[in-house]
Amino acid sequence: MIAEGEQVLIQKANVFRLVKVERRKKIFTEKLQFFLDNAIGLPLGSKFEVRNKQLFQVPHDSGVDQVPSEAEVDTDKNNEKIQDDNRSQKLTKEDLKEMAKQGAKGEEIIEQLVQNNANFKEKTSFSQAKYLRKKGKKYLNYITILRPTLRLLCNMYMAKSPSKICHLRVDTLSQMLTVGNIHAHSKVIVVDSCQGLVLGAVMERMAGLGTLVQVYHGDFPFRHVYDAFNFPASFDETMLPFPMNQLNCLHSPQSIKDGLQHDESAVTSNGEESTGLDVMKDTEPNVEDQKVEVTPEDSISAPRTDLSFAEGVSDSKEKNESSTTAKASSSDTEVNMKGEGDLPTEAPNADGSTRKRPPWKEYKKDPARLERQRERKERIEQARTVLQQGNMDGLLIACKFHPSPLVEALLPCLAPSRTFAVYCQHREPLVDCYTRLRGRGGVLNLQLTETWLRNFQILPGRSRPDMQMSGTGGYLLSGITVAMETDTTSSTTEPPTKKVKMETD
Amino acid sequence: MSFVRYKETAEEGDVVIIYLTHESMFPLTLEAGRIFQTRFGALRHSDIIGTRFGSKVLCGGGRGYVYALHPTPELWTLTLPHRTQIVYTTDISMLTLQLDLKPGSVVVESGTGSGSVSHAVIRTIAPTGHLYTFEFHQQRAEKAREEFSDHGLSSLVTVTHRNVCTDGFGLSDVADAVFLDLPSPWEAVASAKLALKKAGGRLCSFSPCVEQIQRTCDKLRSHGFCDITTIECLLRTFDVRSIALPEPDLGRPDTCAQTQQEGGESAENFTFKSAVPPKDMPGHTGFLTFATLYPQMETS
Repeated sequence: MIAEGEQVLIQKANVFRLVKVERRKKIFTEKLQFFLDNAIGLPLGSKFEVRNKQLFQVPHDSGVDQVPSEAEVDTDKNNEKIQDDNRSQKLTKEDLKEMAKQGAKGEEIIEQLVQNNANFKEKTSFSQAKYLRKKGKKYLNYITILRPTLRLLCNMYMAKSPSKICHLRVDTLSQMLTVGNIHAHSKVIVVDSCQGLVLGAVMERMAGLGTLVQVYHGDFPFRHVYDAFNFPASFDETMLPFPMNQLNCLHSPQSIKDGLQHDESAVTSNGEESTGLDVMKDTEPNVEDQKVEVTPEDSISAPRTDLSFAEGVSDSKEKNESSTTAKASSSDTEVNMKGEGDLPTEAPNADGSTRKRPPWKEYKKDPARLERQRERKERIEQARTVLQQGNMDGLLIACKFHPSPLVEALLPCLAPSRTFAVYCQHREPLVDCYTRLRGRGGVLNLQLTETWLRNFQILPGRSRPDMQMSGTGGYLLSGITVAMETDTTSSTTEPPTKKVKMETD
Repeated sequence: MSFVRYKETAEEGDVVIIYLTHESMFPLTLEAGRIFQTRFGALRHSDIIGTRFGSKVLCGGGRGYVYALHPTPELWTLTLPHRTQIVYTTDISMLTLQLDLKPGSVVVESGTGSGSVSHAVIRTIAPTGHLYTFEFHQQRAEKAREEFSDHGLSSLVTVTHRNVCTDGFGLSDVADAVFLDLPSPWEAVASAKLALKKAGGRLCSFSPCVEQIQRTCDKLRSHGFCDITTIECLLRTFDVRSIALPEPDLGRPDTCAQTQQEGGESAENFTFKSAVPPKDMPGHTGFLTFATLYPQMETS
């Protein structure tokens, strides 16, 4: 269902665009302008024609290129008689403009183009289909509204701005998710500088069941693509942020005390939460309870003292902030700017009157803001506790940093016999990571891999690989943790480091 | 249940993956009192029962050791008893993502084969999804059913012995995704369309030969499937090695004499770490064809 307030993908030909569904909001995409109002309430996956800036639903076979069947494939035609003099088309640009002005439909314009093209009849049926496809791209105003799935989001970023997702290609991402054995009821660590794409992918496979620790860099966790998945607010409950710059003191209790000003309240809340979290991950019924507590309707009437409720608020607030910042930094996707007042996040202090953010000076001292800050700190402490237990189930890293230090800091957080997968756009850092892990021990099945992806055109009589293909989808290092040896004496199965070999060619 | 949920210690009846070396792993169902012979010596099941997954287990009276690993669908794919050719993890990953699978998805699969795809799919759609898997070979269907039951997955999967090409899936408006791994997948397309939810869904067909996908794509188009794409995905595994290339002896600039008289090779090497691609690798597994079935427009 295309629902107000949710993010959808708008597809025109091969171009995708992520937008939030709102009434009376004009969408610009691929030279088209329109309002989404007519689409609200219709199933996702519906196709529309744009007429007078409004959407009208059409069947899916509208405007689709007709693929000639095997019987129609003509082998007697060729380009022998086709004149390459740019004079085949009798219609001029002005004629076309005039037609469009008089409100001719795209199909009619294309029909006229065909009629007035001297060479069209000489073309083979494939060449004709190609001609129609090309003209269709220009003159047909069809769009499809789709659910933002991992598959489509990844492809969209890869086509538009691959550097934003570290060139993580869809096949490589798919390997990460399976090799990392991501599934519901697991406890996973994600380091993601792909705009939250990997984070969203992992959350989708966990469906809000289990614990997801997001190791983030910078001032706040960045979850831009994550927001595109339209997860229910309850999913946020299972996500704990942890700042990258505190990873080094994760395993040294002394420095925690020195560096992080643990006051008494933080320590007690820390204790409380670790039990709370155990409940959360061990027994499902409680997860259900907490879900109920954060639904928007409840949150407005819920008492402020409810801890889990307050956390939910803090987290969706963070999300909101991150998407606002995302807007500032990215121009090619639309995100929620005005949505703050609509979200349950404002509900606590609310008499419903304050919908706009107050000036910074006041806002800085805003008790609600300070409360949120405190809550975020608590969630970080929760994350610290879970990480320190060393009992996590999975680790996925896909970021712009050198992976080795991250892997070395986070592998001790995994239980034995758990899998991890590290993505890097380049091969050399993973070679370093591989070497260091071999030296460190405690891992099996270390594999450095790359996947190769090729698309095919499959048409009657004309099947072949696509002319263009992706040159690289990045590299993956994966492995399985095992119990670390206390003494490093006997080792019969695998030597920790391979001997230096001589290569002669 | 350990295929869909991690547990800490290995108990009687659990499947563990015995790791000897990278090339040599075996699945083992734990039964107290039994002994498993490895090339490092005899391994007593009871030595594994009660230990934490991922720990070292001694065998052959302490002469050697192995690791007892937690089963995952990926390790299972590498170690399962082959009853047919199987689809491997690279293709499974791709089809899982391209079929938009997640917890709660309802999936229809044929054939079940050795259950390689089934285990991975069940892992992803658990705890609320369901897999309907069809196998036309009776013995294989029974064996698969037994295996799922042994792995504690029975509630997540229904195994049916049927030839779906001739008799159809017998399902209507239930599935989010259909996966076909059949010799003639085009014969199952009509029935697959029926099985997919009216709200739309995805289909994937895996075939090794061009002729197969050719016919399948034609059939998909004529049945109103859209966004038909065919891909091939291969995995390349690198060997990380230290390589030392000898520095060539170019003689000394002042005299034209050799620096070293014998051998001709200087003592110095140029040493570097390299990820070396394999000399041989699988060049083809199969083509994966994907298609979308969009919701039908309601005509009022």
